[in-house]
Amino acid sequence: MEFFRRLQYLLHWRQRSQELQRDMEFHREMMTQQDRKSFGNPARLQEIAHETWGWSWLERLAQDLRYAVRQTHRKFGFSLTVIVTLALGIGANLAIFQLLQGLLFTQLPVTRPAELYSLHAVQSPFDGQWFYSYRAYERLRQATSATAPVIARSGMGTGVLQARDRFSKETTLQMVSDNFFAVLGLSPAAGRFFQPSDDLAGQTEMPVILRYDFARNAFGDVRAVVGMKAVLNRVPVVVIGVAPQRFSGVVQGSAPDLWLPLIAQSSGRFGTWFDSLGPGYNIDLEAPWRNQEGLFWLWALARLPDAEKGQATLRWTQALQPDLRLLANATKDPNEREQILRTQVQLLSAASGEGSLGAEYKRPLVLLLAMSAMFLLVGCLNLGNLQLARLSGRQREIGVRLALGASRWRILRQLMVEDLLLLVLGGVLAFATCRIVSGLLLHWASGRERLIPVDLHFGWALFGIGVLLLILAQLGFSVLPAWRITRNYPAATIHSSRGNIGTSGKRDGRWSSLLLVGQVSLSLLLLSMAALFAQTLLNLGTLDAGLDRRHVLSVHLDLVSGGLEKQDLTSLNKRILDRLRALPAVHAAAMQMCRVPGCIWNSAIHVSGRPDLTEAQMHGEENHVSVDYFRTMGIPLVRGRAFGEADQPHAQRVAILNQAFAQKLFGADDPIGHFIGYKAPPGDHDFQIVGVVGDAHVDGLRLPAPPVVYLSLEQGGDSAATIEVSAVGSPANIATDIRRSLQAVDPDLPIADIVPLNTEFDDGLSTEKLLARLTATFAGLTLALAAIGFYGLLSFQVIRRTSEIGIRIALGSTRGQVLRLFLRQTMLILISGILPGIVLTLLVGRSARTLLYGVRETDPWALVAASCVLIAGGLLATVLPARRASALDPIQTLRAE
Amino acid sequence: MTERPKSGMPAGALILLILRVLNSGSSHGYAIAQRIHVLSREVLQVEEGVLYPTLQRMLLKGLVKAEWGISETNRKVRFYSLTPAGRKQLRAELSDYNRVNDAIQTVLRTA
Repeated sequence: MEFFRRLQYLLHWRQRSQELQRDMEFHREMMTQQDRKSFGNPARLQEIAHETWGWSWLERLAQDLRYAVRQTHRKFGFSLTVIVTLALGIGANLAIFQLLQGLLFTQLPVTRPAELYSLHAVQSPFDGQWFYSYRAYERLRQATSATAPVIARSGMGTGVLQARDRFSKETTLQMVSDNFFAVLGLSPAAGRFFQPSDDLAGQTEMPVILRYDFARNAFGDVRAVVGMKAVLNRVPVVVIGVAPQRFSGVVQGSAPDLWLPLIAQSSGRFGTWFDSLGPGYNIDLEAPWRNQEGLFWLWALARLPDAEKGQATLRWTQALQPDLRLLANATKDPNEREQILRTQVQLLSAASGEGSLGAEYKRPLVLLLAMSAMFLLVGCLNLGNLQLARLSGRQREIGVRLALGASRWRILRQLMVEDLLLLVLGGVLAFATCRIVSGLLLHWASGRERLIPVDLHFGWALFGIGVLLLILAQLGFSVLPAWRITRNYPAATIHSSRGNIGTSGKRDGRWSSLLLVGQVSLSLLLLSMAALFAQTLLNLGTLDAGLDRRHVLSVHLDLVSGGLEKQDLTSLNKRILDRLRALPAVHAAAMQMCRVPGCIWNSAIHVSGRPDLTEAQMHGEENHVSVDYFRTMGIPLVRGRAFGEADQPHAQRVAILNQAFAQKLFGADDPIGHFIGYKAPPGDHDFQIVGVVGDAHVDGLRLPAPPVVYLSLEQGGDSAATIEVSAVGSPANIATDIRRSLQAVDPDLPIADIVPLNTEFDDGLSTEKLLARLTATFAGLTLALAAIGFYGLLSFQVIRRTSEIGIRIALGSTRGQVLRLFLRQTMLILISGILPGIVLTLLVGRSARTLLYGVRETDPWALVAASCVLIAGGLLATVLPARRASALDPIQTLRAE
Repeated sequence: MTERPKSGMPAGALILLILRVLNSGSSHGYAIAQRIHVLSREVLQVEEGVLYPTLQRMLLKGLVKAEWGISETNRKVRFYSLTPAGRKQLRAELSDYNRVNDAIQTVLRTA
């Protein structure tokens, strides 16, 4: 009750104060009328009465705050520096940390994620994936107790989903075992999950489950979507359920829009990543994969309570014996064969999901986190320095207040409240910056097509870290300088407005210089890292990829979902190419099976009459290409001939090697005329080598050019998935012409994408771009901070040393000498900062070596460039205040004393 | 912090006196001080620096309420009057005071 009345007083403060004031005025009037007695200081009396309201602490805080706002207003530059430093410094740290947390430390949103393990047995022969065949998965599942169930999933596929109202959307999909959702312990947001009957052959409609966000964005209400019939890659499907909101699959960084049962593969309409024993083992990609022992396309995951670990792995290893024997028999090397037969099933925790996304981004993100922490540190050093200068400028005021009886604590509190205001403002902005920056980072890291699905929720941990950083910042730039400045308060400070030339000033100066040295070191680190990453990006951008990536445009066809049959294609291909070659801006056009960069169609080649070749020599990549391919792509022909019109299906089948593969298989010998094949004799006589072409970075710019064997598309290779067009000018200009021509050939041609080849190569550089952009940003900001630091320190010193300079000039010092006085000091600070900075750069650069390309941290030019930029910045920031000093009029300054 | 003005009487006693004065009718601050001064045969002097904080405290505790009125000098001024809670408080404080006073008197007489 009383508290509410108190609150009333707080809310109606002004009114209540006036009432009290009138009461007391009246009292005083009556007293003077009657006996003229003195009754003390009216303001003080009123204050005492106010205190009974119990809000005096708040009143004093409000006073401090009002004072703080006035000060903030007055010191606009300083306040702005504080707020911007905190907002950017802390915001960037939080954003990077948030991304790191989302990628590395977030567990799957499933029941008891710590119990989930990936089962690793033998890596697949060509692609080196931990794949299983469907049969192997069945064996694993049968050898499993009810408490340790095994689930399987395929790689990612794509599909065009067509639903009511002419809805058509490109989607990503994944095939999973019927127990997938049940074992993960999820409950559907709507509808139901798969059950064993969903995985049977012969269903008229394939059941699908949608990802929550996909369902909501595409169809609105997630409940209404259950039971919806649609068509996916021309297969009739029915939506039976929607996954819970936060669940986006078990693979880091990939979120399938929809899940299908494993039986869906048998329709042949859903292509995903696979590996096989190789072309010699009767692998038929068109037939259902589930019956083929030699076709590997599933990853296995198990839920495994700790108690069952040992026993379960033993049982699984036992169950996989047939598969181990199969793989061993397909291996040439006896040592390797022995090793495969001895394989034990290994468990790898999948609590944070499968895949290597986290590991892939860990190093760059940790490096960026270190960079942003450095930036924050530099920012705080800078603020501490400015604060020292600022407070020294206020020494007189503080001295007067102390002399008038203000307690040291009250002054400290006053100073801290001033900074607290800035801190709160900076903190709010930091959290806002974090939101923006983390989104931006994700965008930069993701490349062109899809955002990496990372759970970027803003949790308490992040908030706590933000607050902790703010408190540390406050301690560094506010509490410590304030503590220092209020410590030694002799009354002497009041004497002169300029401060005395005595010892205390020198000591402050030394502190400031030391802080600046630290700033310079860290700035040098950030600048040289920025230079190294910029050079890396430049090296990769100008790298000779072995092909003409500037003029080629890729047209990706979606053949699986588009539903073109193989026999249609041969004549269609010819019509397409003829049409494109007729365009005036087109220099050449061709087709290929692969998608460059990143085909990863690994294969093994047997050379006729060379049984001595090892497995490692025989492995290479395979691509099926049309006539004119090498000319279109700008891959040079080194020897022999390219594919020609004579290479028809009935003629001798021919092959072309690139130099790397020729070197591996034949060494210095001429490979032309030799025969090669997919199988051991007699199957090693299928293709005759007719040419050798140059190496190209077809897997991506950072990866070395792989060995490649090219086979003729016209002689019955796989279907072409990409049309390559070499333009006379810029490839982007002819995209619309090409689309129009293709639609003229066949209006139903499923064009997935038309992209310049260079853009696709660039997509592979998202990490490098991220690093280069961010380090450059940090370096720029740090440089600005260092310049502000020098400017601040020098301006302050010029004010402090005005009388000294006046005397110097009066005694005959020239302006140039005064200027040099200050420049010499800056140079000294710069050099003593740059030297430790170089050591720091070498240390950090060594750990970042794998992220660099074509440049090393020991390359002197980055260090030299960074040093020059720093020196230039530092000297420039010095010249401005120093010139002011050298322009002082000695008579004026001495008179002012 | 400077020292508070001295009241010249025990702290609790002023509240009792104010309650007693206001029990006979509402009154403004100056009149309260005057009545205490006069009724005590000019022994007790209530200073402004004590009176108003005490009145504020009593307002907060809900013992008195204040209303605008016109003074004898034709000035707009606030008149304080007892609330039911104040009346209750007066009864309680009076009986308390009497009991303690009797006890003290007894000790002083007999010891």
